[in-house]
Amino acid sequence: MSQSAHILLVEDNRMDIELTLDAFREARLGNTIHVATNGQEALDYLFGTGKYADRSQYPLPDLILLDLKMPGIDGHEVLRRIKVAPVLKRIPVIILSSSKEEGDRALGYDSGANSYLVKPVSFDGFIDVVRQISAYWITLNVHPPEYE
Amino acid sequence: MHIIHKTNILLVDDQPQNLLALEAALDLPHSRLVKAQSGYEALRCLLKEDFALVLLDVRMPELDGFETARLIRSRPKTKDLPIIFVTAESQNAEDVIHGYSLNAVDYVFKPFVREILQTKVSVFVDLYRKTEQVRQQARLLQKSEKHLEALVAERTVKLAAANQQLRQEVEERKRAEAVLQQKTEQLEQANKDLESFSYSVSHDLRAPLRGISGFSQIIARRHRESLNEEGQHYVDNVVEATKQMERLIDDLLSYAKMGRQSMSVQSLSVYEVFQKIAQQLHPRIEEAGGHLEFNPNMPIVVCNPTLLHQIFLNLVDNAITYAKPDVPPQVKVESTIEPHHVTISVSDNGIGIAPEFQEKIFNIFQRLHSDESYTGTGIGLATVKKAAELLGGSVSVESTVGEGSRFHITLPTPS
Repeated sequence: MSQSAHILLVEDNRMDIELTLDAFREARLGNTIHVATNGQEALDYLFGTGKYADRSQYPLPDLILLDLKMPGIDGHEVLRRIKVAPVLKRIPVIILSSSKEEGDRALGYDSGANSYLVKPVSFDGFIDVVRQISAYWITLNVHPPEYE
Repeated sequence: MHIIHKTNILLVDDQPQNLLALEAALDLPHSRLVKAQSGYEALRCLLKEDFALVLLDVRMPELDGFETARLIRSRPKTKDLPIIFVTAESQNAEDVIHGYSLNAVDYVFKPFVREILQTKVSVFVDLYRKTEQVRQQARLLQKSEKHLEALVAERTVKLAAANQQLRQEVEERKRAEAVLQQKTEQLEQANKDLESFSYSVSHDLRAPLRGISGFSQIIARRHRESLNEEGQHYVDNVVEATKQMERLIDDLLSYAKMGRQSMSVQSLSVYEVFQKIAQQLHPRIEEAGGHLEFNPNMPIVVCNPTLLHQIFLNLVDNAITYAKPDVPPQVKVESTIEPHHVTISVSDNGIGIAPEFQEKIFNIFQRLHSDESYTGTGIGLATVKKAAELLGGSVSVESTVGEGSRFHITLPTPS
């Protein structure tokens, strides 16, 4: 997979969005990152509804970075809906949460998360995390075939 | 119990020589012969004493034998008294019938055969004695029954009192237990509240901290050159403070989490626990030029792995943190095994703890040093204590200021 992979970042915290985007920039990873700031928006993007109907502008992502704690439809619910939708279920989902809680981890993996990462506190940590995500999930990992 | 009293036999005859003859014939053991020379005298004797038998002459002047017998029978006390009529052989059958009609038990004809008379009298004497014995036993039995009843009654009263007291004690105990239960529940609830509170606080503190930490680091990274010396100093301070804050939240989180997580138990090699810790703290030990010494000859304990790991991680981490300036930390782990528990000691050559602080250090947020000199959060030893107690064990410390500290963790061994 080339560095032009599309990543959907689902995150409600403005600063966390900025830090993640900044870390991607700092790591000089040329991926295209789309941001959904709540669960509903993430689902709209993924199912191509409303303003996200144009797939050429909003293509299905190659990877989803998903926060858990969000008001309204939370990360767990978004994950469940992704994993039962034939068009979406093969897309790797990485949970990026500040919770190390056993319950969150169990529920995340049970709902079909492909990976679970804890948000680092420092910016250096963020850079390190996005580098490793990119190295493994975009470069090393063999991408699933697209749903026909 | 057999008390043999002399048995009274009443001999009644108006002829003194006849009385003498009877007396001579009735030489019975344990018998007392009372003589009466008339029916009236006989009745008087019967009023005064109890008799086993009356030998009654039929032919007597004034009150004859039959009349005497009738009077004897008319009194309730003597109505069943055995009477043997003594009469001349010439006596006709009518007399005999008359005698029996007065409930005479027998007849003896004069002149009597001594052996026959003795045998007949003996029968009644024996009967009387046996009856008396039975009566006496009945009386004794009654007496002892009464005694027994009294005893039972007394015991019953005592038992009732004891029962009452016991009931009261049980009631009091129940009340005390209920109060205790309530207190325990309140305490448990308070603990739960505190834990969930500190858990969510720790969690929610992380989000803004990430902002402060992340963006201050970005400034320090990208915009350092555009800041003057003062600005650079302040940014460095912010970055440093966020690191300290992060440690604090981590420690608080693990402290709060301790009571919440399920306590799975497994058999653990203390040696392997220290191997992991050595690996985990390797960079820090290396940086300090220190050394962590432990040997494979350490006990196997059965307990929760996370808690055990936290205990020793905190102790070793502290030993490295609180080293003397310019003296590389030397941390040594030793263990002793006793019948019901094991003690694992972690000792260091650090700055030590003054005696007045040796109790306090296990309290949460109890710090003895300013932030500048040492990087602790004041939660580590509270975590150690809580974890040790959750495992049914305890922690203690020996220390000399300027020489070092030795922490002892005592854990129960399964019986």
